[in-house]
Amino acid sequence: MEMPPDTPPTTDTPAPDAAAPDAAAPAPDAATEAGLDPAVRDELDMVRLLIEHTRGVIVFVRYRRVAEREAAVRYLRQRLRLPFHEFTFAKDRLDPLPRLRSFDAERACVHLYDVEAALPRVAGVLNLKRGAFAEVPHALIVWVGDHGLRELARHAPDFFAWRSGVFDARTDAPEVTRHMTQTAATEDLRYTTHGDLERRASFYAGLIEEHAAHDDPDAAFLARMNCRLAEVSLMLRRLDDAERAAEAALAWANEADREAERAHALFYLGRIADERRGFAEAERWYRQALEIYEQQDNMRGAAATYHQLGMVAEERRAFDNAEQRYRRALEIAMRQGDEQSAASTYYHLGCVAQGRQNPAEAERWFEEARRLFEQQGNDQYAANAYHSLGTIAEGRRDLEEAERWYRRALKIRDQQGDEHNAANSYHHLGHVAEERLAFEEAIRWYCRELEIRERLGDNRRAAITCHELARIELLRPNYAGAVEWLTRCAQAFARASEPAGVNRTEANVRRLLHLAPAAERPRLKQRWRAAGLPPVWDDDAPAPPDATPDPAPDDAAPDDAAPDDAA
Amino acid sequence: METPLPLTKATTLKEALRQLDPERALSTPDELDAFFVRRDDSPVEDLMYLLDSTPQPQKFLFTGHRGSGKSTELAHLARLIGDRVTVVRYSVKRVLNLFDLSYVDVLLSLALQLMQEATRREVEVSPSILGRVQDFTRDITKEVEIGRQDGVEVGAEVGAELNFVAGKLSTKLRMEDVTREVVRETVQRRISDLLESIDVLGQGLREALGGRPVLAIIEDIDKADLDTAKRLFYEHTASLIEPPLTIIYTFPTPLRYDNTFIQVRSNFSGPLVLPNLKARRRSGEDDGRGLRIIRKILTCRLEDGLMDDDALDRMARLSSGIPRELIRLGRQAALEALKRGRETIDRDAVEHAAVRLRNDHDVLLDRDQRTRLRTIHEEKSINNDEAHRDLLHNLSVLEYRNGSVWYDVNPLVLPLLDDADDAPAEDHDGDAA
Repeated sequence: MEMPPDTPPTTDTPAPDAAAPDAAAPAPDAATEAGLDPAVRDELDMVRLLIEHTRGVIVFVRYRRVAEREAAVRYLRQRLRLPFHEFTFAKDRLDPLPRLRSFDAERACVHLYDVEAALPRVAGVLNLKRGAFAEVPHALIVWVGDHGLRELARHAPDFFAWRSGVFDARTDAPEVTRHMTQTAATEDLRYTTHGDLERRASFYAGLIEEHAAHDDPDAAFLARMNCRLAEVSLMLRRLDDAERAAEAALAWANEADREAERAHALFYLGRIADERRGFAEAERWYRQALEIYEQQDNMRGAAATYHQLGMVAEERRAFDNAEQRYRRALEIAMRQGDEQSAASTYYHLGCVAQGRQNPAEAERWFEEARRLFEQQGNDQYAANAYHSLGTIAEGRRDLEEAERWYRRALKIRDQQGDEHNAANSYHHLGHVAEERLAFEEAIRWYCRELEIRERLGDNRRAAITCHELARIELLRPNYAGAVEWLTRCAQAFARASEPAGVNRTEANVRRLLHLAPAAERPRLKQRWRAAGLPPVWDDDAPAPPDATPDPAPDDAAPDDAAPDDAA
Repeated sequence: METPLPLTKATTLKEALRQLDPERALSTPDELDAFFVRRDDSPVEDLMYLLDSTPQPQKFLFTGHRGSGKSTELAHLARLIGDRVTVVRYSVKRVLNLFDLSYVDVLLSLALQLMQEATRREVEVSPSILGRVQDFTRDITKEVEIGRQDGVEVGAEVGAELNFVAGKLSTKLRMEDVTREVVRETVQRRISDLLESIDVLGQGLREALGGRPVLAIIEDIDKADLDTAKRLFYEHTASLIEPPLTIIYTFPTPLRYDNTFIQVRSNFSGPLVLPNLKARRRSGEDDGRGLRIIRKILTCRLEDGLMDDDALDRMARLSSGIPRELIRLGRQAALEALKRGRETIDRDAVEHAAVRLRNDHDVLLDRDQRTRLRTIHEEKSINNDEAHRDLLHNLSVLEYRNGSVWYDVNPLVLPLLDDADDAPAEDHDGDAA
């Protein structure tokens, strides 16, 4: 079966203001050393000693400005010989335990940020679950300001009581802030892990807040930082945050009368519209950005914008147009020696070929992209290439090879905490298992996918996964199991505000009832009703002539449920 | 699973960091053998005599400050009486969801723990008892999709099936909100059947184990938020005291100061209060016995010579008498010594550790609280109001008992009161991103 192209990821677009690969950035270690004053270094060395010689400790580290935190985190990251993970709290992200439990490593160091953003509810969560925190073997570092520390001490007293120490990364040295701010403004922005992105989003937001509060704020700097925040928010798929940042960037760029920053802001507004499938609007933003880039001879910006315009055309399935734009982007990237951007464009040329039902050509492009991504050590994009190579193999029914690619992609996504794309990998692995008639295995993969979809609040995808599970149960046949999944499917479609999905699921329940043995029907109906769903059957109605064992909603075929990862 | 503590004394400061773990209560027999320090004011031995001398089932409330050693003392009790009483000891936080805890959950968890204990001990229960329990669990589980365990046959003993059901149901009660609701509704309609199941399981265990009484120790209810705990103990007292076996419930200390506590108290034996250790008396003189116990908690974990006598003495005096805080101070002192390149914990390291822990309180206390603390330090008493309960809750004020009950400021906090005028006023500004 031919797989349609996956929706392109937001993260494989080269940022128009990214530092060139050969930019003269200070060596990381030197940067770190320069960014810390000796007293803070002593404090952090104590944290390191404690973590290295104990298991499962909880420590608090105080900071005042995000730059202090950033410098301290980088220092610990370099010094601690443990796997490094991060979790950023927010109003809707109160519980890090599922993440903590998902780490493969026997022992890791986990940094928890922005507890203040999740107050007051997070205090209750931490307090009540503190026993569960003690059961994970990882060291937890909770980064807090004075307010956060005070609130946790008061409202999460049991959690606070289990601290192994409170350490201090605060400094009055202004050069730390200057140094970290400069580093933040110039360093290359690329996907590392989900946790890293969340911390960066918090870092940029903090810098913006701190700088905007100055009497005479530096508008150009604020425009640049807002662009960075927009980029990171896009990588995190937080479109509302990205839009707010891009709009602020445009406003600051206008105030500073800076064309370069204005172009970047327009570019990000285009990316956001694109993500929301507002293709006409996206084109308009991109065209405005492109005009400025070309006027200013910013070829990197121009290449990135052509790439994005290619993606818009690809989304509209205007493949000729898409190819033309991608080739233009590729030409500029090659002229600039920018292999990173070139690799992304190769990848999308593969997507175009796949869209044209030309798997052989698609495979060649994906292979080329994979080679470059691997060469660049760009694991996340390499994972996207593996996934797409998996879809090509699956399309020619080489299930063994498809599974091999999907597993390679999944390994990286799991390591990076990239749950959204990991869920896509699980979905495809489920589908491959199903094709092999290994139903138990398929159920396991789909259930893992479902767990993530539900956790991420992706109700539509959750509904589709429930549907896949129902279909497998029906194949076995297990009518009770199938109706259970269809019940959850209808509930998820309802949560996603998709009445059409609910209607199709109801139709599937009717079909299922006609297929099921008469003796089982009352129990099946009772399960459906017990979930608070209205009866969808008419007991006197004859069986529909088209009753089939496949209750698939029209748009819920596995292909449709496939990644939008994945690059 | 928690990592076991090393069972030998620490010989280096790095080992001391691991050995002095404030998060770990002593739990296993080996840990108790190695590190348990007997406290002569602990109510546990009284409790043991009460259990031995009173054949009727009783219900106890067991309470103490956070970190005062309740779990360790209960582990010690279980070991003391384990040869003549069947102890079923568990933590509600491991089997239930502390966010959403009701009396039904607690009683059901007790029934499930009894089932699992019976299976673990391979107890032969009479078919009639087994039949009644199975009827009850089947009624619940038909409302809840439990799944089926391959190869499990319904047998004539409390065996694989019940154990399987108990394990699955426990997981669902802890993790799944919907299931919890469904189970609760079902059980609430049949609460007398649940109590009967507890009764017959208790009887089954007793008969099968030579008439040994059954003691259930239900820990960590005190970790639920105060409103939940209050609802549980105040509104559902009758249900909690109903099961016909002896039960110890841990109880949140702050609720003891609640005006309506007297109503609860009349239904339970106790409360049994685990007092804080004392470094000094109300008059301010040293409490030699208390100091010896406090020192021993550290010296039984650290090799001689790893901490000099002056440092040990200073730690004992600075200690608030709460074992967890003492262990925390010890670990911090070991870290401070390491930072300074020393090989042993000296007085200087202890002072630095004390400053650091004091800073935690400094952040926490506002100006009004500091003023209140000065009064408490002078008067050695507190008012029974929320402001004072907060100070008890955050361990700035501690309750002591030698003869009578008295209160004093945590010795670590005392220096903060010297400059009370400089203390921050209450503020709520978010100062970090």
